[in-house]
Amino acid sequence: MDYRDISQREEDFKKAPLVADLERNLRTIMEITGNSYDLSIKKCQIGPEKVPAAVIFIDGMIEKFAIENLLQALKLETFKTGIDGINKKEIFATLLNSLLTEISREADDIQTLYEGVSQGETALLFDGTAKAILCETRGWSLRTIVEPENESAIRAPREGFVESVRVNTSLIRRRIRSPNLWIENLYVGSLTRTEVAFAYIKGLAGEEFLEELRSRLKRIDIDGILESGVVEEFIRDAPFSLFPTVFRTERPDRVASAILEGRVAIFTNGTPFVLVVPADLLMMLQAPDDYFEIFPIGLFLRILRFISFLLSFFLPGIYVALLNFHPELVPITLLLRIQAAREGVPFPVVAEVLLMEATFEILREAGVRLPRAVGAAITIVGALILGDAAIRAGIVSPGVVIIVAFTAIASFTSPVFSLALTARLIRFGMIFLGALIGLLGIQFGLLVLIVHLVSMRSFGYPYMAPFGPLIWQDMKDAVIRGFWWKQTYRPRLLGFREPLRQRPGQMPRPPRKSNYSDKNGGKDE
Amino acid sequence: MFREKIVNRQLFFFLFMQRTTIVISFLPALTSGRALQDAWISGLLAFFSSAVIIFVVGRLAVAFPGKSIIQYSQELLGSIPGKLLPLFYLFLFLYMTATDIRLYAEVLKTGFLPETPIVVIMGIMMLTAVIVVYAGLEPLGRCADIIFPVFLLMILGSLLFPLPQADFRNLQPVLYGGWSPVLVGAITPTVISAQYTNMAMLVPSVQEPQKSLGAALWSILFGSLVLALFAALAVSVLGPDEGARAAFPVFKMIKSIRVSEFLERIEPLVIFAWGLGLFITNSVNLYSGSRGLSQLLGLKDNRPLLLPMAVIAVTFAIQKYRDYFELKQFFEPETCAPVIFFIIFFPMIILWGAYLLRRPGNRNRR
Repeated sequence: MDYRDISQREEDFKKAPLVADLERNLRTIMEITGNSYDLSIKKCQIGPEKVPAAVIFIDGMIEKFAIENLLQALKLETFKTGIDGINKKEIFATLLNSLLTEISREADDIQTLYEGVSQGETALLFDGTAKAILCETRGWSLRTIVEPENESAIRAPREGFVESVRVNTSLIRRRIRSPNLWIENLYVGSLTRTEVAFAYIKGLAGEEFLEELRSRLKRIDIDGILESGVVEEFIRDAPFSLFPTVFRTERPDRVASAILEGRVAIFTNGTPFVLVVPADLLMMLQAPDDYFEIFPIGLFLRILRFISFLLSFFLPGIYVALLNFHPELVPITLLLRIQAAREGVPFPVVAEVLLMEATFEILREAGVRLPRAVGAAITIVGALILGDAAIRAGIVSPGVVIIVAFTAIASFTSPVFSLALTARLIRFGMIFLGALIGLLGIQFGLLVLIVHLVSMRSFGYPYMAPFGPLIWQDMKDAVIRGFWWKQTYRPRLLGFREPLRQRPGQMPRPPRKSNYSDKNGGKDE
Repeated sequence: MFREKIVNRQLFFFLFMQRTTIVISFLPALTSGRALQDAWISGLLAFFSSAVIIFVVGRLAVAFPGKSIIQYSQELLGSIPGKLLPLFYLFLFLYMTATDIRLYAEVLKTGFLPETPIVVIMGIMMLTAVIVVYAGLEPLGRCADIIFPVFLLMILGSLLFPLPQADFRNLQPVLYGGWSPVLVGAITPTVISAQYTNMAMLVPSVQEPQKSLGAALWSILFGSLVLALFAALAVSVLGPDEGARAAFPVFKMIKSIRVSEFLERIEPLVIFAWGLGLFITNSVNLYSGSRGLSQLLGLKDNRPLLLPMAVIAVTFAIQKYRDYFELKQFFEPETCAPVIFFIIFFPMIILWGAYLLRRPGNRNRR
């Protein structure tokens, strides 16, 4: 019976040394790892003098070929260099330098050894040496790089992040090839030891901000990080706010463009969701398509999105307020239609709206959880039977169904899903306010919302920039998406270290003299 | 303690919205009551007299950078009189807040929420102000940044929509009654410029206080233009008699408009703009008041004062005016001018006197 608890065991593990005796080292490792069945320890003898050695790796995290190559090289090198067993110490140094087939490094204690092995490296232990060689042999099956399902775009790169930090950072490195793209990493989680890396452009991102980020990440003391959402909650500025102050995305192109503005991307191992800080509300309303479609279309799409964003917050509340308190403001013909349809509905407008909203929320949650196979059934029951039957039975009026459905659809235009979740909750508040004191209540809600938004910061960066504080220079990429050749400056507060982003005055013009003249069948003389 | 800063742009937004909010509420009625169709001239004239107020209040604030009127009046007059004098100003902030919310509540009650008690309406307005002032001056400035474009759009909308129904012949004959009614009509808009006493509390927090005077003058210039335009438009649409008699001429003018067969009611637009502007007005008044009171009492923070002050403002708004007519009565030049001028100019004359006496090189006497 072992009475040491987990923290004690972790402590011992960190203190365990490597000694010159191979058998003792193996015994320590066995004791620490408890003979786990995926940990392979293969003993062998090396060289003409048959020096006892051991190869340690975790099955399933290594490339089979890499191990074979490694062992092959091991035999070859020992024979080639003709090490005699008398000088055991030399084996280590020679092999460390000569195992060129793989990237290798040395480990001085059990902790380094095990952490390397747990990442897919292979450890070599020799009798007579108090060190180990760690060889890079990692290789395990990953999800392939596919288009992110939850963040689709029409015209934008199709790649999405996967669950490995290395692959994810490489996706960024492929896009930004400057050596000034710096990636720092650290391990968070006392048991999971999750790799967290953050990437930025050195010399563009503010140093004070980077220092703040480092300290916030280092401050995290938790047993496990399973998703970047955990990191997000630990580094947020406004922990109680409904609004996301950390931007998360699955799209490498969005991350790259954020890094180019002077922001920082935080990668967490084991999740395709990459965090971007500092975040503002505006960037959650920008979609990749805006930037890659031609200017007028980008402009149109963005304005459309802004309007539906506002509607998804306020529409049901306004509907309730108008019908309850200010029916005189509704155009008379429209009001008559609505009232005629409401004939015989047993609930007040508020109850009706809340009922439909709640139904919709339940449907949506069920839609996320349900197995694919029964999806069709739920769609039919939910959408057709519930909606249609509710109207026919006279429980709700068609007007409410239209409002609720429209609001729901409008909320899905937001490119960031977490914002749609925010809208869901705030909508209920607005319905209550509208039901209590009509449009005055809505106005109250709006003002409180504005106050809340402008007083928030994300790592010191104002959340509502460039609207509050008003930054005229940044308006070129706010409500409207300006021409690319007009985006001369970086966002002012982010790219303050070097505002100029591109050469000004690059507006394309047709050449003064055409290469194709109308005479001579199109040939110039 | 971390000192919150605003910039002159935000100061301009504050002052402009304060001014214009009152204008769209019922100012033209007061001016046109005397000057009839020449109300717009009164509006323009008020620019000059208001500029004097701005100069009187603002120049001292600029002369003592980083110090509010509470602080520099103690420096100039000594501790006891220096503490008593700013009480006039603190009372003025309370007065303006109470009057503003009462006005808005009256309009909202008659036009939109006939069954809601007036306390609830005023309470909600004050609550929003408390929330934003609690968040701080910086969020308040950013709120102004966000609200200003919307506000401006609504103002422009309510200036443009009535144009098709305007009959500019109503403005003739110009200066029919001579100059004297026009001059008397300019008194009330000048009195409303008591709002600019907020500068005495705001300028210390502005990043470049030397330019604050300019920002204030621009705001009164644009504010006077908006007033003149609304006055001219209200008279053109409603006619001089109706424009003079109506309680809320701008409101009435917008109400009389039908943009199309379908869209008949656009007055929520004005009410909404008014509500936004009033939010800024109240918050600035509350900020100035609470900040001043906390400095007077030597408190580090003005936040604990906010809720009690809001309650006092609502109570005062109910107690002070029995009904709308009493409210309107107050704004007649005969009643309001002496009161407000006393409140503004009496302390200012003393402060200026002390300032001018002290200035010529005898700073080391203290």
